[in-house]
Amino acid sequence: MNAVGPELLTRLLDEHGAALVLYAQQWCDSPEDVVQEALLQLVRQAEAPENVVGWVYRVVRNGAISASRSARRRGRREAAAAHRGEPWFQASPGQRLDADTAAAALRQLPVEERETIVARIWGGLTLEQIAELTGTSKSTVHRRYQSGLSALRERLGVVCPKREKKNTLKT
Amino acid sequence: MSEERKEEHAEDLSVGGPAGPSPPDVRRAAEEDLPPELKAIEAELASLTPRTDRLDRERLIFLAGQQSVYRDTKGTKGTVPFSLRENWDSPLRENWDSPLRENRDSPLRENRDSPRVRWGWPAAFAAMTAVAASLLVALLAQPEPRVVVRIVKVPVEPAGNGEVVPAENLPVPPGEGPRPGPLRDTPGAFPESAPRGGLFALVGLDWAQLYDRDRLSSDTSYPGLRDRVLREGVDSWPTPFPVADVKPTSAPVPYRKLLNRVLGTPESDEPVPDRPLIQTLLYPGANS
Repeated sequence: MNAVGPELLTRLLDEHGAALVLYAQQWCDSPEDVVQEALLQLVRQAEAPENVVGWVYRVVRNGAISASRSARRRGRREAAAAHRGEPWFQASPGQRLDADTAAAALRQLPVEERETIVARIWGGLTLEQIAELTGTSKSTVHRRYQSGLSALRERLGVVCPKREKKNTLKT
Repeated sequence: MSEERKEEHAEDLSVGGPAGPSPPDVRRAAEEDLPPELKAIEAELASLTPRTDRLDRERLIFLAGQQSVYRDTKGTKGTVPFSLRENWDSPLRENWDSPLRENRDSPLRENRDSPRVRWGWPAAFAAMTAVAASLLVALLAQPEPRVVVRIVKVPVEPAGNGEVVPAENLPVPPGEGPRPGPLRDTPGAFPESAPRGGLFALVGLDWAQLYDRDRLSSDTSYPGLRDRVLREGVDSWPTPFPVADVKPTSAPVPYRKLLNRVLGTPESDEPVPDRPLIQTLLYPGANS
């Protein structure tokens, strides 16, 4: 098996860079450094791991948690990273949700649920990969995912499309 | 990023393929389990795009190139990447673009990271520290030098048959008085309150010798004076010198007789005939 080349690294950056930064931001206040170090660590590997995306997410998670502990030792307030004022998402014309509102709702979730949602929706990981990443079972991940989505739905007030159709038909 | 696209990426970047069920199957099963209202919020959230401007892409590619050089050449770990955010407000940030920083990140830096250079100075430091510590221990552990006072009695003269005779038993030369014995053996020589230790013992002064010196200072005999001069120097000689009472044994010899004795001329009481001539020679200006 060959080492990670520039093409694979570029693809990783293009397709998962932003999601990795968002994922690391769930713990620490310097997610860019964590992601950068994880990608460089990937490049330093003599042989590419079997599952590159899962490997990078695991390294990012470990690095972010370690950075969070270091920040905590330096006397910073816990969970300050998740409550930072920087926007998590960039505004795009096609989006139906307000980016800041969605980020604020995400920040209010427990870190386990938030981590699962970020890895699932924006990271594109499967539930099994997330279970392997977090060291839990797949059912636990599924439960967290559903719980987090339910909380977000309540906070964001998203209406089910089928019910919406039914309501329009009634009217 | 859409769900379909995510699935494609997950498949492509899994180099060896995931163990167990394939991701699309698992994902599909998970999605089937979701109620429709949660699928709706999932779709709404998926429409949001995370910020893509937070990673310094060019710098990351540059550092990755360096790391790949290290990996391909020596397989050692590369430099630790600098902190983008924590050092952003640092006053040292202005030096990031300096040539010094470029040199620090250059591939030539691997020579400084080689094991020989990396462990050379620490090894030398450790060795010197060990040597210094051992020397310190040796210095602290060595015993203090002890001053041992040994009194050696040297016999003055060997006897004829080879026996060693003490100085007190040597024969006294004629003309000298009886050799004084040790004063400390004399009853009543020391006062009752004579100190035996303390300051005298500390300075090495013997109380008995002190009393001996007082006694010898009044001894004006030749052996006593000799011992005193040898012990205390010439300044201790009592003044005035004892002058020997010498009395002239005969009448003074006249000059003329002494001259005749010196010149070897026969002694006679007659006047010298050529006395005027001698006087003229000795005293040319004098009138006879």
